[in-house]
Amino acid sequence: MIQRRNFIKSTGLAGAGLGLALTNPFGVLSRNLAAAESDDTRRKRMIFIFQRGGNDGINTVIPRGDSDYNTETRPTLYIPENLALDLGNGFAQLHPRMEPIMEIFNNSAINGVDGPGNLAIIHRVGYSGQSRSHFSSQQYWENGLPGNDGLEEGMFYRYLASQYDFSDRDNSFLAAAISGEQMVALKGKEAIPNFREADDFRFRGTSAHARKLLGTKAVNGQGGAGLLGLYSGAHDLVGKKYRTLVHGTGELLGATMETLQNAVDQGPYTPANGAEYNNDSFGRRLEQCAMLMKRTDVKVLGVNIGGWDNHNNQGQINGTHGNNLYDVAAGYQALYRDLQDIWEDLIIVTMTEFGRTSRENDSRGTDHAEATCMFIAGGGVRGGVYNCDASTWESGAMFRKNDRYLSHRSDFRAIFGEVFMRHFGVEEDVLDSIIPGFSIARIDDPDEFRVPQFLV
Amino acid sequence: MKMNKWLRRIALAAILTGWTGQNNICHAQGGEGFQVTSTVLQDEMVQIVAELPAGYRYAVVESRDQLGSGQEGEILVAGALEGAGGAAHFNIPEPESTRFLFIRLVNDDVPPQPQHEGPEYFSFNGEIPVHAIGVEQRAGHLLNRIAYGPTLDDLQKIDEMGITGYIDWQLHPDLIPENQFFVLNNGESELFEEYQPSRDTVLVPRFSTWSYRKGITAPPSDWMQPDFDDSGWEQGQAGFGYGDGDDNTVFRDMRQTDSNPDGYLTFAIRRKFALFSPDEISRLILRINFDDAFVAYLNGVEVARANVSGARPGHLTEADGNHEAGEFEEFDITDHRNVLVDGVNVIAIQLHNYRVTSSDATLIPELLIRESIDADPVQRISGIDELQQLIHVRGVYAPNQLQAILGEFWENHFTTDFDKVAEYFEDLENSDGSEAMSRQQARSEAAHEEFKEYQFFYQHALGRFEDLLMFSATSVPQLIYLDNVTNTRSGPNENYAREILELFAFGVDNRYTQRDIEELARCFTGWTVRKVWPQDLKQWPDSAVRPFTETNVSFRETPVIALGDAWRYVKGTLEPTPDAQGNPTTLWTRPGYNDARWATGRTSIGFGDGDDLTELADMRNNYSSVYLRKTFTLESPQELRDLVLAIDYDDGFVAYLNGTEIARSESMEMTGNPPPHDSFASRNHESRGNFETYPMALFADLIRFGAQPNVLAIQAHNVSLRSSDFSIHPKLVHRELEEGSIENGDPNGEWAFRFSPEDHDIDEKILFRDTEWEMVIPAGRTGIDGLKDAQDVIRMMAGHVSTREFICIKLINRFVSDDITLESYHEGTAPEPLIELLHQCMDVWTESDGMILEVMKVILDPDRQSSPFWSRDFYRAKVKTPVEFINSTLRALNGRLIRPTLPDFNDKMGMHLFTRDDPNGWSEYGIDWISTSSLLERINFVQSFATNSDRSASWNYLTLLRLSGARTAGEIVRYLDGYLFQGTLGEENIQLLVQYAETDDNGEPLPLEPGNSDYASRVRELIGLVLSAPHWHYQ
Repeated sequence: MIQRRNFIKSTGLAGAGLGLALTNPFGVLSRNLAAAESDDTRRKRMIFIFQRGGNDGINTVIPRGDSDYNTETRPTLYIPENLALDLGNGFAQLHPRMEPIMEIFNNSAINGVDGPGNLAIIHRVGYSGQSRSHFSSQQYWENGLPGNDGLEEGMFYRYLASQYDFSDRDNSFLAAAISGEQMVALKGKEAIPNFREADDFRFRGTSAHARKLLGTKAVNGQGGAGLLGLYSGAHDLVGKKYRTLVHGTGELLGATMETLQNAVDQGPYTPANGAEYNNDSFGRRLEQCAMLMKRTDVKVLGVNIGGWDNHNNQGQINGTHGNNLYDVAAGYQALYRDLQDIWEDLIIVTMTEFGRTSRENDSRGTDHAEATCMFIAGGGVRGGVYNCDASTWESGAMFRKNDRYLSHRSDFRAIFGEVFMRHFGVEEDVLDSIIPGFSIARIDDPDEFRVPQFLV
Repeated sequence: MKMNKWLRRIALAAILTGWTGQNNICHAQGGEGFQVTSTVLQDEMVQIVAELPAGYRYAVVESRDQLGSGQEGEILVAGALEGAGGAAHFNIPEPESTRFLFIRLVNDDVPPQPQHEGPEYFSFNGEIPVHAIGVEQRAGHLLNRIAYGPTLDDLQKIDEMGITGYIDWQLHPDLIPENQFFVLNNGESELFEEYQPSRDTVLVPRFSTWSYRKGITAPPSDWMQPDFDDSGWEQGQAGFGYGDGDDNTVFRDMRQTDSNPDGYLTFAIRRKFALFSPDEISRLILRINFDDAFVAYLNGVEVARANVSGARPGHLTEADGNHEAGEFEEFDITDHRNVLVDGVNVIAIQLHNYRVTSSDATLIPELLIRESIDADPVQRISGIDELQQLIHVRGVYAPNQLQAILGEFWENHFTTDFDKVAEYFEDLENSDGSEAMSRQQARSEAAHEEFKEYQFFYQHALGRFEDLLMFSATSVPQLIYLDNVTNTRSGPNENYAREILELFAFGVDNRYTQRDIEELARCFTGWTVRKVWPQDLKQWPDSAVRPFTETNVSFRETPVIALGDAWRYVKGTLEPTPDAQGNPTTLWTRPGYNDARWATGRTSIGFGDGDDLTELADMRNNYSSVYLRKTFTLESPQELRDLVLAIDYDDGFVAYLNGTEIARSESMEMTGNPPPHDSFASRNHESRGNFETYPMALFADLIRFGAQPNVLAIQAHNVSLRSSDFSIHPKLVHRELEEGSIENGDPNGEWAFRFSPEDHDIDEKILFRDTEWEMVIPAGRTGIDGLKDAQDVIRMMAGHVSTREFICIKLINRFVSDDITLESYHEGTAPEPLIELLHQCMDVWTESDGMILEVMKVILDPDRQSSPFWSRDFYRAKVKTPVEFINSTLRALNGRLIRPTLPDFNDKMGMHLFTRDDPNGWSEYGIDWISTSSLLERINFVQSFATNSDRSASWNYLTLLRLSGARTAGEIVRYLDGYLFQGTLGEENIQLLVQYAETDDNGEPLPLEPGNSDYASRVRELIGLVLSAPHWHYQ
């Protein structure tokens, strides 16, 4: 019998070698543009945080009700019950350093109104045929096609391409990675900007000189000047690999610079509602996300946080892992407070390539494994703990896979499919062009594509 | 296209045919790249057949009267080659008086004018590849790929030597004359420094406990004297002060503020320390971090001061000015060593603030002895910045460009992270339990180890892959980076095993399984590092195949309190000495405490793991702690020499000496002072014979000498009531290092691979099960034999088809095209010519046992120049990495490197060498290097370098103008187009650039003429834009 997953893997991607796939393999996209134009779902926005290195889901969202979580399996990492945070379902607990994120979970609110929490904690997310290679698995989480190492085209890029006309000048700043390197999730035929500091995103020298240097675009090789002229016009290097990317990025540079300078020129940024971002690289990047969400029309922003590959000395509460979790939780708290005005339209998600071995290794760390947890917050999120309670966490789950790994219950594409459909309002047939084979897989492989109902 | 003047020179004339017409005898002689296959004289015609190298436009045969290349002869026959190599047939009417015939290859724009023309005189069977690039593009293309871009020097070399000859030099760098290395050697030498071997012994560690007194009132006048009674002073850990976050003992009331109107200017600290044979001290150093001033006394005598005036400054004396803490400063106080006594001494320091309202104060002292070692100074890389800069120094200056490129390529392929190595060193301890080295020393040693690793790859860049792989596996940074140092039989760590398969040899998911990773991880158990004396360092390949097996430190122990001695102990079912409220106290730890009612038992004391002489059968599920006491005497301070408290434990302990806490396991942190009897250790710790040790000399001030007994008291805790085992193994021993031992922290040592047989798993391992590559590693390889387990696998891997595929693809990606990946190759979707090339590379790999030199020959195809390397399809279709972009920019303008700050630009463009976190190295794919952020950084770099406004490097625009002869904007742009872009810039862009140069900032026309006062700056600006063009990102 033909495996559906193989079908998914090969759909529309035959011959998609590295870089060649930059020509969008999904020809259906443009017909959706018109339909999407008027939709008020276009107010919807997203911040995604990629935890590079593979987060140890088991010490993040602790399956307290599983007797395999103990000092024998995790001699130095084990967190005693009295030190962990209660998640209210009598089964799961949260790492104590994630206390700041409980503000969203409990929704003990700035506006004083108690309501259902807006934080979904989803455990046991992964995919079939899980790769335990950082590079492959990050690639899959970002390009949305497990098994395809070569496709440098992001799932979020395809979402944007399906809903927006990139040639429209109003759409010159739809998305960005706050990062020195572009993230695969945002890569695609058309360049999406990335930068570390909005404020630094300019040429050196006087503004008159910078203006001259930037110049103007050429039309059919004529009338261009300066950098924009060089990157837009002449009939040179035709057919060369990367020509579209190099030239397109050069053109985009000018438009991005203008948008960012307009945002920065509005003055120093003060977070709202007493939000405080950590004064480190990750905290400052989240603060820039908030600033850009308020001062521009950007729809999708991505941020990386590294340091999760804890093969040794992972640390129990105050070590490397705990510090990283604190950074993420504090970031969520700050964004939650700061972005109350757009909270209803916003979703904040974490991604990480895999979880870590259920058993601690002899170096007081953990090795690459499979399923792990995601945090999803936003005004439309139905808060709660998913896939980590007495009814879904069967005995032996922690070692179900090869006696080493926590097995997955939800495919990450099912989670993002939900985000695309219910948050961003993408039609299901369009979704197939963002996550190839989605609709078939959902019917054909319901166990793989189990979707927790975490969106209202 | 018109070629530039310097390119129009005669390309090659090294070949001659010796000819003696009268005797009808022909002598033919070949030369580099030429092969004269036959010369025949028949019917008054000379028939010559010659194999000609590729890369030239025309071949001519000319007659000369004498040998030597000084003169040009008369051209008899000529024909077009169009860049191809192949067999040429010349048919020449017999010359009457000529003695020599020469075949000469030229790249002139204008065809030669021979005496005889037509197919009857010249025919050529060239193998010109269908899509080969033109002759005028070959030199530039070659330098874009096997060098960091063109320079005038290298173009001229190619001009003189021919492409074949230049590639030959690059493939055999030892052929390059020594004098060509002058600039490179000079540039490299600035990145190294001389280290004079010496040894420090700490007398008072940085974060010691001191007695202190706040300067609210005047201290007694003899407060600094050795016999002063400071028992009324408080105790605290250094640093002392407030306000800048570097203080362990914080004086919140020191600063005068509205809410704290008093405040005080000074405080005093005192501490005893033990010292032996003071007259043998070579240098005595006070290392101190302070804000704002201090005066230091040894045994009551002033030995050092900074930033404060007056004899014996009092408690109200202000500092002379501000001095910020941050760096430790060294004061050489050797001249005062005569005040020291054999035994216990006292150091006392008074700290002075500048103003009572100052925002901060700091005092962190350290006292040490420094001995010189009688050894020659050694060369070490100055630091990580300089190491990163070395990539640029070689990239820009090296005449052996290909070697520099491959050195970077292998360094990046076998990537390691400097930061992780430095952190590893910083966390090490010496055998006495002290911190092995400072952060600064750790970073310095890590940089040196990273240098040694990179240097090997540079030196063996064209060697056998097996050597590269084996060296990387046994290199110190790699052993640390991917955790092989923690990979032991009791707990295999699979990090390195995974990555050597996935990233260093086979490629991801390329014929191996998770099971293979686990088996291979077991093969690597016992692989670790140690420090060695430099003279003991082994050379490659001994360093890998005959590594050290012993640890770096071995010692003799003479017990004062031995393991197995009887201690007093009591079970922790109750608090031994509670106060009135029932809270724990340390009364039980004091000498005067009466422990007569405690039990007696031999150590170790515990249960559950079979190692205890005193078994606590009722402890499990009952109580979590045990209290121990033991008395001992010491005759004199001399007995403190080498005396250490050594403790092994399961799971935690706190130790006291005469009532004062002196040691505590990490697992007991934050459990209280003292921890209550029912508290638990916060984590598991198994007792495995690795004793944590504490030098007793550090506690000299607590010890009573002579007949008076001292009391060592210990409380030991379990991790939980349910825990299956518990143990406490304390001993007090003289620990004397054996000859040849070297401590982890010894700054004179170097690091080396060590194989630890006792940590190696000797069970059977089976790899690649059920494949033709299946490999059974037999059980029972004990001792050094266990090293073979992984090394046999490495040797096998080096010849494995997966490795051949993966490494050859990566080399093709680097030098030809990134259009092929492991995946597209396996799917058959990669371009056919690249697949064919890959197969040729893999074949030659097999024939040559993995010689990179041979693979490179196949890729570059120097003789025929018909491999895909020369194909139009892949010409200018690769994007430069940041390192390539920076180096090629500097080379283009003949730049000179000034300060080691180029890595900062790399970092901004997204490629920080030697510090990448991820083990996959920086990408070879263009798509990973072009983004708005990196593009902006590239343009900003070019702008600042072109205008000489960054101090990393500079260039001279006059040199460029002189060499090119260009003056106007048009001439300059066209010159650069030929020089840097092989004429591919395109007319539209040329016009745009000229217009840019001839326009002011407001868009008004402004001619560019050499007489203009701003001519130089505008030429620089123009060149800045040329190098910001999209074309400059391609190679």
